[in-house]
Amino acid sequence: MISVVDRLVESWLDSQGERQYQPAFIQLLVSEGWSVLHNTRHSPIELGKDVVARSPSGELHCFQLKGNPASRVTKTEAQGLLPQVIELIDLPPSNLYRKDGEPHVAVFVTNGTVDEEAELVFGRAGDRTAAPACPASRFEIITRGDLLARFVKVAGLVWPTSIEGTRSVLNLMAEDGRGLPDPLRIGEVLLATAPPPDEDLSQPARSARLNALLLIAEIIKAPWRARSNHFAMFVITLLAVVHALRFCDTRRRLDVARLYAGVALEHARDLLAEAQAAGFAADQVWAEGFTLDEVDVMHERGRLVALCAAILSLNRDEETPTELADYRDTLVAKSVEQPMLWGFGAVPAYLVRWWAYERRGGVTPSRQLAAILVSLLTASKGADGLRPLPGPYYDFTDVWAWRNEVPNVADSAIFADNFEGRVWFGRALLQMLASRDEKDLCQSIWPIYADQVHEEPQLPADRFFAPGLVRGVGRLSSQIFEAKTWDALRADSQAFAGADFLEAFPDLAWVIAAYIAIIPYRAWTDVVMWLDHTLKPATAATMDRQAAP
Amino acid sequence: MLPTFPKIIALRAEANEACVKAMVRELAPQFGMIKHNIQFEGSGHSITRADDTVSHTELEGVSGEVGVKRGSPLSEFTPDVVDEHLANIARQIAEGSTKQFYKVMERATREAGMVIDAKGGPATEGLILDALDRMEHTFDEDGTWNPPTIIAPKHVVELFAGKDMSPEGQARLAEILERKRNDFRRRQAGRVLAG
Repeated sequence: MISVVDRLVESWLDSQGERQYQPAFIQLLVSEGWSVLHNTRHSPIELGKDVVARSPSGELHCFQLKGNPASRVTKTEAQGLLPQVIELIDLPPSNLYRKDGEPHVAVFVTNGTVDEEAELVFGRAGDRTAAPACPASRFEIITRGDLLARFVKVAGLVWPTSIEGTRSVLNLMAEDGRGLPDPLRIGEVLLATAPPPDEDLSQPARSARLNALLLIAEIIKAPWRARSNHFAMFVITLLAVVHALRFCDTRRRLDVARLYAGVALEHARDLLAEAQAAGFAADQVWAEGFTLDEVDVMHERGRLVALCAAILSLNRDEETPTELADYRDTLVAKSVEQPMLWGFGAVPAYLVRWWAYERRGGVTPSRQLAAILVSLLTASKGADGLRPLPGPYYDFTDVWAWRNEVPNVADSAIFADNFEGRVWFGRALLQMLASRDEKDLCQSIWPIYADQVHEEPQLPADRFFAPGLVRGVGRLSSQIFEAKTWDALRADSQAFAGADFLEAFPDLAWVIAAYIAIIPYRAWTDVVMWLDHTLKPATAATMDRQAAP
Repeated sequence: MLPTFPKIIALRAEANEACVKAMVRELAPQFGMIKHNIQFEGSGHSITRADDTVSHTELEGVSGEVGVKRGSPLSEFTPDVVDEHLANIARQIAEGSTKQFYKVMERATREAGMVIDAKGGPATEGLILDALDRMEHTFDEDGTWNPPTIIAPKHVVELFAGKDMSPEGQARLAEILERKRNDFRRRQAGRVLAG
């Protein structure tokens, strides 16, 4: 019997180009017990090999992936592909991956079918493996049927079995892919696919859940992939990686998560390349359709593109070509120097851009940060005719609807909520300034800072990894300050024990940074301070150490 | 694609359209006086009368155009600037629609033989009575006249309504209306399916 899962996987596979199903293919191999040694982007150095992996029995395989969604490889196409197939067979993979003289199995993979005549063309190329000097031991072809059966098998093992879970997946797959994905809904699917591990969960089961999670993440991207909605795919990837970190208590599983995190960078890079090609600039008028209808979203679009730029920048982005790197840095600089904060929900993403700005030697970054903190405090006080900013639980659409008094579009709670005198992230911002020894700035800000209520949730650490709102445990903490000493503030800025659970992932700080930008209510003060210490430039870190009490 | 917010854009588009329509109604009030039939299909409209005469009207688009330079500073693209652009579009649509409206009216009246040429002279009582005489009129069941919609300066409208008319004019108007009432009743009485 053909199930909904089979149909969804089939429909997904039949709409994927080669680069598109590569991350899922990697997850498939990992799920089947393969060790993935190399996963290349499509560049001239690939030598006909997209993926190098060792099978569960230890055999070295080199895969070349082609995208023939819902179509077939014809004889003409096969002849065109012949040089690459010969390269796949005749050139051994790097010595990094193989033992001296070890032969590899050359595998041509397509998500389409292969014509009989095309098969003959490939078969003749495969005959080269009979020669004793050939570095490949044999040549294989994997076509749509094999691929689909393997994907269905793995997906079927992990697909949410509850009605709720199935409905969540179907709802996602029915999206039109133009808008942004709802992190809460993505979180629900990830949670249904891979519930957080408890102590009794065996090691193989943990690995299976991790691999399943990442495979499902690739499959549910389908509606957004069909639209080339890079930012949406960036969001889904990051949510999956952060969810996956709960399973990463071994080096091997952490490596799997790291490898998958690279997919987020690819989406970010694709977005930047498209933005640059489209002549997009964060501080200029740009519309994809009728300009007057897009007036409300232009700043926000710039903010989101600049977030991807900042994440690439924080990741010591070495793969981005120089020209795109210049564009990336300009986007970050403009978005920091001319910020548009529509609510506290936009503050963590600002911090992420700010860290990138500081790293790239931005102009007086501490002053920029202080100005933002003062603006937030002033707005929350309702001073200077400013309207208090909505809290971090409301997204851009909610705030837009609230400001424009458009009901039935947003979370209805925003129309009943009071924001006056309530500040989020103020503690983190002030501590960031303190950790940079900005005593004068902190002292000048303190009177207005101490005149507000500072809010933040206090939740169990394991709840950090999912966007779902937490009920039944934890509490909301409102903090009121009066007087404090500079030394005490400095000491606060050096202590962030509440983020100890992140200590295992210092090289994935950029992932955590992107996550709090997407899920702002997870930007707990200790998490922000951990990020600040991990991401700040070496000079600022040195200053910290010298000034530490 | 670059990040976008289809829901917000659709709502803004709706609001912009409503705003333009409201401004057009203000700028071209004649449209507010006419009942609107919305045509969902076809590229034109035709009406076939009892005497087998047919009139065709083709649908014509009216548009407004404004230019917003891509790459201009976003800080200067404020809601006030958007409102200015919308007002500009509304002005163009009102002008275009008015032009088209008079074109259609002129053609229809000419085809129906209802054109009275004042040759540049003022709208006199005689001319107005001639115009009323050429029209086909409708009446309520109790015989009350349903005067036509008139788009004209106030003094002309008042003349049409029978105010400020000379006793001779009023007598002629009464005679015209009596005749038209009889015509109307005859037409109504003739609506039978015989046999």
